[in-house]
Amino acid sequence: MDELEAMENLVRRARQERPPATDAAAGALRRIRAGAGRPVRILPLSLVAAASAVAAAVVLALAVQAWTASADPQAALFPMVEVASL
Amino acid sequence: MAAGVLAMYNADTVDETDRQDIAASLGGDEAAFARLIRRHEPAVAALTWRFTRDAAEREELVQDVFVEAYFSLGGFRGDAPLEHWLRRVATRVGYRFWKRRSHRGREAPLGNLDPPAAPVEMDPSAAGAAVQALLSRLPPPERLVLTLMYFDDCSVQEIAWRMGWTRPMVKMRAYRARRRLKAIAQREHLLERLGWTS
Repeated sequence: MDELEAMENLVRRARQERPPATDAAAGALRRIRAGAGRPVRILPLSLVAAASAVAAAVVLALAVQAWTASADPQAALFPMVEVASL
Repeated sequence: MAAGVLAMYNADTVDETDRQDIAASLGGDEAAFARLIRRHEPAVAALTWRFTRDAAEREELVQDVFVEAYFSLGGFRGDAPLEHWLRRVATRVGYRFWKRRSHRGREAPLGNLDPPAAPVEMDPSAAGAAVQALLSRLPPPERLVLTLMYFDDCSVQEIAWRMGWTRPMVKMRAYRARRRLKAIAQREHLLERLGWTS
């Protein structure tokens, strides 16, 4: 007999086991009444996510635009330094 | 509404009392759902027994199955008996339980196996505990495939349907599971512990 045959023998015996009874009705109904386990509705979350993504894209576009348009405040100093060293 | 819902289900596959109670449950009748629970709880409880032998955890798993079933009852198409569908829900609930548990690294001890004179003389409860302890050393997907094959007489197709896996995936997991299980049983000296070496 190899290990897998032994395992199958064990399974054959285990299948004759009578599992203890459960009483889940009251607990399940209490949880249903409380709304626990209610699946999360995807649509409202998707709408919020889409609106957030649009707002983030607008802010990013404005930031890039502002960044490219803005002048470096230090840049103005260098020509003066150059002139002074001469 | 109830009449419309009733018409959706195939009378050949879904039991008449189940059809009535499903329709009533979808209409918000709590007593009808309680009847469904009482009718199908033994089958669900027997399956969850293969996921945990701890009484409190199992009670919670059975509740999880029926809570999940209640909120997805509208998705029951009625092309198979309700019990098949509930077994599918129970399998997924049990599998999620194992995955959560495997992250915590809990593994059942194999315990002391009292060697019987012959396999047929072994106590079924001890055999069940030993099988579950050995299977608990497998990764959850492989453990699930063997558990369903050993204890729920599931075919490859049935497991694929329950879990939404492909059939080649199930076959591959069954093959790997058996190979790994054999190695585990050798490492645990299963044959010697059972006294089945001859």
